[in-house]
Amino acid sequence: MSLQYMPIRRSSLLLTCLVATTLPLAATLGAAEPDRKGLDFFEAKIRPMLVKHCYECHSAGAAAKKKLKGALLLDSRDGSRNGGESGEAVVPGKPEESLLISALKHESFKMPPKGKLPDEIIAHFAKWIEMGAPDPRDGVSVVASPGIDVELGRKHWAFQPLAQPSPPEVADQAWIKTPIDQFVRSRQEAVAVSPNARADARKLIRRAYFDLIGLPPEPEDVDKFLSDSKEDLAGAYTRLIDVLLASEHYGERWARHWLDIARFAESNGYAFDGDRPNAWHYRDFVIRALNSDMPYDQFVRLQIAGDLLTNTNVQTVSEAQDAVHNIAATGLLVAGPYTTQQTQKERERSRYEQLDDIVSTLGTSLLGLTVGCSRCHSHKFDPLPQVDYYRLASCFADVGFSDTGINMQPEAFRAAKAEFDTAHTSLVAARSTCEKEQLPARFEDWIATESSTPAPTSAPPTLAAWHHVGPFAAADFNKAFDEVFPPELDSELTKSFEDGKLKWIQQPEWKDGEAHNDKLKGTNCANYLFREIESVNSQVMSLSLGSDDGIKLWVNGREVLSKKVGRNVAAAGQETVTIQLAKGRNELMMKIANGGGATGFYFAASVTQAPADITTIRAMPVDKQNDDQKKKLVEWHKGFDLEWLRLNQIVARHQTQAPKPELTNVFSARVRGTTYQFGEDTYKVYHLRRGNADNKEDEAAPGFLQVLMRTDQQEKQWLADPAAADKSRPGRLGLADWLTDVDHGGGHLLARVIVNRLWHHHFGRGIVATPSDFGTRGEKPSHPELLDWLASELVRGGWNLKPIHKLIMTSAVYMQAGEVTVSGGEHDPENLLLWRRGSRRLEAETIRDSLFAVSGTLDRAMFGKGTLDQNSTRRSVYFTVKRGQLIPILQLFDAPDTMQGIATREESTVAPQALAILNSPVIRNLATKFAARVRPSADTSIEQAIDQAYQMALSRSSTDKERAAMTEFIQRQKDSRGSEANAESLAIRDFCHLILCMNEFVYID
Amino acid sequence: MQHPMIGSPSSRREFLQRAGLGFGSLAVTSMLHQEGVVAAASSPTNPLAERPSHFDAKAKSVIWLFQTGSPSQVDTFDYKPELAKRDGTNLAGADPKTGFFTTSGKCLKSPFKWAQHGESGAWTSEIFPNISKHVDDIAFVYSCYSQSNNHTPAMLEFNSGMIRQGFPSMGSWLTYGLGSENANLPAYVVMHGTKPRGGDPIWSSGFLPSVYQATSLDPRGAKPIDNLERPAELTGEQQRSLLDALNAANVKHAERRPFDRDLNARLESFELAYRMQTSAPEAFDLAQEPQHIQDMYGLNRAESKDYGRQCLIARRMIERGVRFVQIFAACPNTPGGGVSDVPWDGHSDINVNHRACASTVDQPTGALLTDLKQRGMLDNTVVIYGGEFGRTSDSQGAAGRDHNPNAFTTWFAGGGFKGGAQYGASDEFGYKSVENRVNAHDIHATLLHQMGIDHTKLTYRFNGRDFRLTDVEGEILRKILT
Repeated sequence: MSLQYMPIRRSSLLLTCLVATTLPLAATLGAAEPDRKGLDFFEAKIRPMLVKHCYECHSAGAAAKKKLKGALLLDSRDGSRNGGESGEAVVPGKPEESLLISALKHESFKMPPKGKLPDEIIAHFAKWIEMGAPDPRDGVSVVASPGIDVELGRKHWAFQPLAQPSPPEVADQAWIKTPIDQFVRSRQEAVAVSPNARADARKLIRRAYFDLIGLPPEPEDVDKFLSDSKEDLAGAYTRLIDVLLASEHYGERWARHWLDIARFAESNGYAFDGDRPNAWHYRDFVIRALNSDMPYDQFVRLQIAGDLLTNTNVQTVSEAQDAVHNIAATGLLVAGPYTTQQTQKERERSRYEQLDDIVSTLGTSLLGLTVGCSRCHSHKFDPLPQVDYYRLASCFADVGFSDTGINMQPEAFRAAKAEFDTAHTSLVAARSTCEKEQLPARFEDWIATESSTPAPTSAPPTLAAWHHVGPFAAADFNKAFDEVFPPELDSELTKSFEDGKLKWIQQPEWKDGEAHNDKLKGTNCANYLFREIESVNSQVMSLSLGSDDGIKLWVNGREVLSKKVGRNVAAAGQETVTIQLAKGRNELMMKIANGGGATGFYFAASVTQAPADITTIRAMPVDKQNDDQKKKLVEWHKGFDLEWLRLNQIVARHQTQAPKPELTNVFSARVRGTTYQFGEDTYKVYHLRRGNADNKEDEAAPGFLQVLMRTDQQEKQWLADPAAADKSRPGRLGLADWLTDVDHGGGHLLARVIVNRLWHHHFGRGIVATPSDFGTRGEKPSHPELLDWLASELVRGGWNLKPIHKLIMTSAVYMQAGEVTVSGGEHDPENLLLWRRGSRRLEAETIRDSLFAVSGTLDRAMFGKGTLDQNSTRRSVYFTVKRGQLIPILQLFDAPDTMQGIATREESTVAPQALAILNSPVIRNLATKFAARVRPSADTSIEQAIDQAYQMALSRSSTDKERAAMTEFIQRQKDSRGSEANAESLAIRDFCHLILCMNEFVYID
Repeated sequence: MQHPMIGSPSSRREFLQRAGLGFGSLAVTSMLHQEGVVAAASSPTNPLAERPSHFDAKAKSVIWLFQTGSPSQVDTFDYKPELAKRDGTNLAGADPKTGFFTTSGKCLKSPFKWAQHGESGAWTSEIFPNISKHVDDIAFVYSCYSQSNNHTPAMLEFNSGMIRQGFPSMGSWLTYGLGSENANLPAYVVMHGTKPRGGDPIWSSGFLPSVYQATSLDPRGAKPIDNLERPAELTGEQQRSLLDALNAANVKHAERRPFDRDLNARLESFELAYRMQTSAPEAFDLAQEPQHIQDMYGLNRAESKDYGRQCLIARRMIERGVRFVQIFAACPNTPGGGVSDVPWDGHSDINVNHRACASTVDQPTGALLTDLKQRGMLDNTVVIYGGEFGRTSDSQGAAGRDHNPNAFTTWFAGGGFKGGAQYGASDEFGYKSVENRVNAHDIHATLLHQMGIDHTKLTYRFNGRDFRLTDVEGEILRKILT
């Protein structure tokens, strides 16, 4: 069969074992355990059946619940072999003597009592016992977790404290540049493998640029480095690394690595894939944190508990920026998928899925542990009892998400607010003066002159025709309803708005008592209606109103109705409201806000009595009225006093101009934030039997992984509140401290995992080849002492990552060439001993960024909201990551699907990639731009243009042969176009396109 | 990663060969033999190279006709006269929470006439005049159930075994297991009209390498595959000339780096891309089919032309060696509660909804079975037909049915399935599966088995755990296999 897509993947777990058989490295590279096969069989066939069908009555858990039957424990090796009241359940090698088998066959006992298991499964048990009943379940666990011995588990290399190894002595001193080299070279010397010499300067600068900032060096950068390095390569190279580490593009490049691990995305995923428009702050947090070389322990603490460590009531701009930064950090917790379409019965299950996403992501990203495996059962391979899973999950019990608003200009806001308050106070004072000095007399007058029950029929008010202006456009319905458009501030009918486009127009045909669903226009907008009402005396009217959608109503500048509501049609009686008319000319303003669809209104007015409570009070003799009643009457009277209403309107209109804080909304974790709601258990975590939310046991309390706690107090060490011994701190704060506690908590593993990730990205393979699995099933470190040394250096240096990059990149191991040495090829073909550095393909984002950079079209603007526009010329890290709409070109080159965190991208080489590079209009267009750059005018000769292209895209000159071949190619392409006017420039474009297709462009030595 | 079919990654072996060093030790060679690599070796560096199955396969390919939105079992293939008898009466034990909304608790009879067909006497409702002619080639499973009563999770379950996103779909697992038979076409093709609710993640390759991902396309469009068309201003000759010059440069570059094997793979990927520009459009070119075939698939009827195209392209694909084709039925009319992304979702009126959807799918489905059979392809092609769950036996509103994950029918034809078989049963109202209950894991296990794969052995290590398509479950439905 011939090749299909020719894809290649670099991954080679088994190879480490293969090599172990040929090299004297078995001790560290992992020799196969003798009865692995048997244990695998146990894990695959036997354990699940025991758990499913037997543990309910035959386990320590059952004993704890007083449900143990027959004194038989089948949840440990010893328990199975010793058997219960009836004798040995498992006799290794002898199924016929094992009670377990006869019970399963329903011969001795009838087990399980619910029904005989299928013959196939019973046959598996028999086979297992014949195999000698291999069983890894030693002893009894600490916390009712069958099969797990935490103390024994601590012996695993990754859970050991950091060793403080000294770099070993080596014979080949000449090769050594840093302590890293001593660790690496010493291992090579032990098996007589010789490493490569240093790569040449051109390769080094290209390697360093792509590794650190993910962009190609410009030809001038290359020239400068080459001339500097002629005198002192080591010095020039060190300076180069410093410059690149200080480049703001470093954060963009390395943030992408972290975003993979964090399963970062900006939408919910699932059916409706709702957007999280403020989630990009997390991406910016990561970029800024890396660029500022934030200590990694702090980087982790903020991601776990940034919201709890930050006061959001900020006083200064710099506090505001810090708050956004710190809160955005918790984006790690809430970046996972979230399904918004939920049926009632799915909610609780979905909440546990959400918690599982958080716990699993934390486990793999920070500790390199598959904690998620302990959700349904204690971890099968690592010392992670099921209870630990729920203790961790419990730290997040009250965590939901939300858009948290931060006031970005607190000082300016305070100043503006103070200024406003001063102005406002004087307006309120004017109204108060009126209330004190004028109103009492007019009130007495009103009481004296106006009948307590005015006859409705006497002199009805005159309603003038409507005036209309609108629509005033808004971004959405909420804004249309809330925003104060100019007519609200000034009802002068001669005014026009929006450069004269909107004017007040009289509408005498818009009759009262009819629904007007065809008069107003616009979606996401507001329309205003105004009319005057003449009244010969103080009167009360009842209005019947209808609106599509929302409505606000002011009478004489006083708001009497505000209803934000969605409707399909306006109709009579949707709202009713009683209004007061003063003697004289009254003003009525109505606002109709619309979202989608049609918009309209209904209005009808009739004279009515004052409300019952008012008429009752008025009917009482004055000396019988109590203070409350008097006050009520005074308040009511204000509605009839035009002077007071005028002053009140001034206050109200001014109030609408109150300064509002300029809020930046940040998608982040929040205590009792949004999550699936299912009643009182919503923000609680229970232990779940077999991970099933329908099977809750007792409530879980915050705690951490036992295997990573070396303290008598256990989790109390981090959870006890230092201020009050009987109280505990929030679980997340304790978790953040435990994670970063090198001496007693998880800090040593945290340090190992991150330095390994740096190594992984610099070399293409970590010292631990499974960067997110440091457990017993993960790969063992190829250079354990080096790993511990690097981790110790990190901690010693205050957790700054940039010095570790520099240590790695200035080592001889990193700087060496990619040649094959005979000894290396013979003894270590997979290069586990790091005697060469082969070429590596760029990742999706770097390929795309380089295409734009080389064609001279890269927009280097940093930060801020991303885009889904595939034609964007910004760096790829600024694409919006929408789970249901991932960027095709990035997907094609193995960008992650963002559903779960990933440490190692698979690397595929498939035909659709080639199709995209060959045929996509975007890339063809970049080739055109590139061509214009290499040959800006006909003054540039073809040969010069060719060389320019090599310099720009490949950071080297073309050879004579290459120039000749490419000149010939250009001529051929030109000739094929005959007498076409731009045949030559099209031919140069073909050449530039060819350069962008070259392996040398995407594989970096 | 250890590939379960290849046995071991081959880079070391290839490295040794290329380096001219031969095999370093007997141990390695025997290990490779043991893992089946040396015997298998077609092109072991290529993860899509065709690979031997675990055992002899009954089927070479699968066509999955996914009826998005979930047809009602009691109005299609699962005949329940008891419902008619008790129409409008209380359905004892009905749980209003079964559906997505709430249901009435009153029995709703099927609005359709029913009849028995073929020697097997299988019942079908009147809306399937064409499919009913094939019942003797069909194995019906009346006892399916799914975990979720919500479209997207249930579709995820039927594709990946999990109701959560992020797990590989069956087509990806199959491609991972068996590689690809045709060098010039994708191994796993998904065809949709409006994308089903949930979109691309429904056919995700999850944590499997992306080479195993589906090629998804909407055959209603003019350009079903991205970037397949040469830029307009470049002639074939000019592009060939560009590729020749590119190859020359790449060969030079690779010569100096003999151990970076990806370099040659990338060079070859450009050659394949060049060939695909011709071969892929050919597979989609239905003008090559005679008129009577086009008519048989209903390309001449507005209701059935889109789904008919899907079915006809599917046949052309598997003829050309595509292993797994999944069709999400494109229905132009979805009255009665359906929406274009879940056409069969007859919440408000089963009668009009199912008649409309059936008028789309019945003719092309029947034509596909006829066509495969007349070409002798049905024997080694599994056709599977069904939705993500069923619908309630009690009504929603007056005439609709809500979601019901507890019972529905899926049927299989060809590829070693027993024609005329009837397996499992729902209760007398079709409300719950009661006998030989079958879930997605069982269906996946069975399909993999027919393709020659032991579902318990097809594993992939991700984040420290060995995953399977069938998780820790999956029973092969042996009773409906020949």
